[in-house]
Amino acid sequence: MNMDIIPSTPWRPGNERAWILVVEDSMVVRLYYRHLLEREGYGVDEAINGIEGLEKAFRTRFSLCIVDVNMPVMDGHRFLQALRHEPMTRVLPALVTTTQAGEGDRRAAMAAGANAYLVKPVPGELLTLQVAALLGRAAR
Amino acid sequence: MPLVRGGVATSPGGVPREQLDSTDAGQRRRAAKALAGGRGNAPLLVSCLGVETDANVRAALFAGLVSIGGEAVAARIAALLRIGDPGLRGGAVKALQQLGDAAEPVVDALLRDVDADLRLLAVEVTRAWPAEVAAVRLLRVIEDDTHVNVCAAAVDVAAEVGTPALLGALARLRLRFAGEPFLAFAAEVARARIRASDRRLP
Amino acid sequence: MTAGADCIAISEFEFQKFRDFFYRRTGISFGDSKRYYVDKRLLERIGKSGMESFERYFARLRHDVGGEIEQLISLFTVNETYFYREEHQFDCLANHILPELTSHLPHGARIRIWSLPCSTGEEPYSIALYLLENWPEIEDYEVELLASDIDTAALAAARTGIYTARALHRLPRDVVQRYFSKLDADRFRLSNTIRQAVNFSQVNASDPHAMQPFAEIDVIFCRNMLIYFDDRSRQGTVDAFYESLCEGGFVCVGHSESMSRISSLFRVRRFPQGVVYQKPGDYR
Repeated sequence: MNMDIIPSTPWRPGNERAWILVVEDSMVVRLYYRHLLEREGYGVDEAINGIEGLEKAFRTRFSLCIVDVNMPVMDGHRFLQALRHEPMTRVLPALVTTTQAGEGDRRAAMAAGANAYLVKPVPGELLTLQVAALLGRAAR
Repeated sequence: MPLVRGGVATSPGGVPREQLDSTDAGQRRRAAKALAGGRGNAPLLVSCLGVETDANVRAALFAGLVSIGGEAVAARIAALLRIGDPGLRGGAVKALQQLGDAAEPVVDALLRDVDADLRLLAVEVTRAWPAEVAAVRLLRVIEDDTHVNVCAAAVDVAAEVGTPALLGALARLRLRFAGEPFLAFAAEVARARIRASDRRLP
Repeated sequence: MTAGADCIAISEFEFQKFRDFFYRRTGISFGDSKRYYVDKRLLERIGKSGMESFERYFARLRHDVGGEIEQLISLFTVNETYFYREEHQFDCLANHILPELTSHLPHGARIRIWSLPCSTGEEPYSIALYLLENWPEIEDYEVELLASDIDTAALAAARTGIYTARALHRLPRDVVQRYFSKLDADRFRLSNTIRQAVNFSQVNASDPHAMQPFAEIDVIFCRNMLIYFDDRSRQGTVDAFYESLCEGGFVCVGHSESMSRISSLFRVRRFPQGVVYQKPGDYR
């Protein structure tokens, strides 16, 4: 299909900057994270549920994903499990940010494949520090 | 003439109720579909949802409940929100959205629940409602709710369906939650979008 | 002076509101650079809908009154058909999907591939040609090609198998020579053998009843149809795909399409040529 309006995968991750996939149902959260991350020089792409997240993660090599848990169609746990099942994304750093604050919720997310877990609302500096830490760890 | 199979294969072992317990997810899904529309099947469909972990079987169970419809079904589905599973919650929210105004009473009750998680999910249901119907509820949440994430959810929906009546409450959010830059950011996004339509030519 | 579409301009925040809503509902996203194109088509629709303002139009849009979302999608997309369109998916079929499916099948087993909407036949015939040219194992299995569309005129044309040079522009020259005969300056006829290899049928994909007889399908190609359906029809059609497929069977959709706004029934599978969807379960 020649979608004359739709940009066809306009971004190819280059060596200069890391690309981050934000898999998050809420528009204002996606906007906020984009604002914080772009300010730090990262490239940002978005998905609103786990299925779209997988489609994008499987098509483009991201450096990290930020994942919501409560999303329609496919939730964050299932997304993470599918991510870890696929060789291309098996070790893609995944930061979960969620409204769920319980220890059981944290353990469930880590068991599903998260590398880090933050409770919303996430202070901006904490988000960027955590992202940098995960990317630093991945680069090693 | 395409090569086709005549009719749908009926599973051996007969009645859907027994098949609901099958170890095969495909069979459980077919059984769930067979129960769709039957008014008396709602309790059974809900109790299956309480224990079902397969996403596709869940989808069929929820679809069955939605096909029955009504306020009683909405109430049963809302009860499922209290189980912590995110997939189950997502399915329940979607089902409540599909039930339309039959879900209004139970959603209004959830918006007053002591559990902030439930209030947040209830806010998400209102996204499917006509703007005027949703905005009344959103206003109350944005004015009064004490939990930052519940307010954030309401702001997100308000950015799509909000009316000028919400502008004041959105502005006050920054004061209500002084230490939350995210909420101030979100409220400003919603305000900008609501105000945009206000400047239209007559 | 009455306010018409000419008096309406779309503000920056209205554009954002529309963009986010449209993205949420359809998965289609617009970069800022596409602002002019989007505005133009939006204004066209606002004018046609008789709404005096973006706000009123947006309220209708939210509830997809009169299939408005689908009208917009039609305006935003160009849909043309030709042989070997999105060839990477045929590549995937020959080099990954079929090898995976047949790895446990005995020789002589039947493989059923369904193309819908098949329109004037380019897609199912492309599958036939591509597999003959690129999948040597085709000799070892009984490949059935089914093709369906709602449009009887398109089906008639498909059965006739006469195409213009434009429809053939992506085919390698030797493929054209091998399987087509030239009728005149701009008309080529597909060989009898290929034409007879495809079973055409008229089907309304959003009618569950019409879909029901199709069973034990191994691969479905459904490209650039779902994107034009409303939510309910899409849901119903994808459900019907699920029922029609074998466990472990595959669905390929258009490269700009996604299951993410439709259904979580299928597993997302990654191959080097792209993403396809698989029905869970043990294959045959």
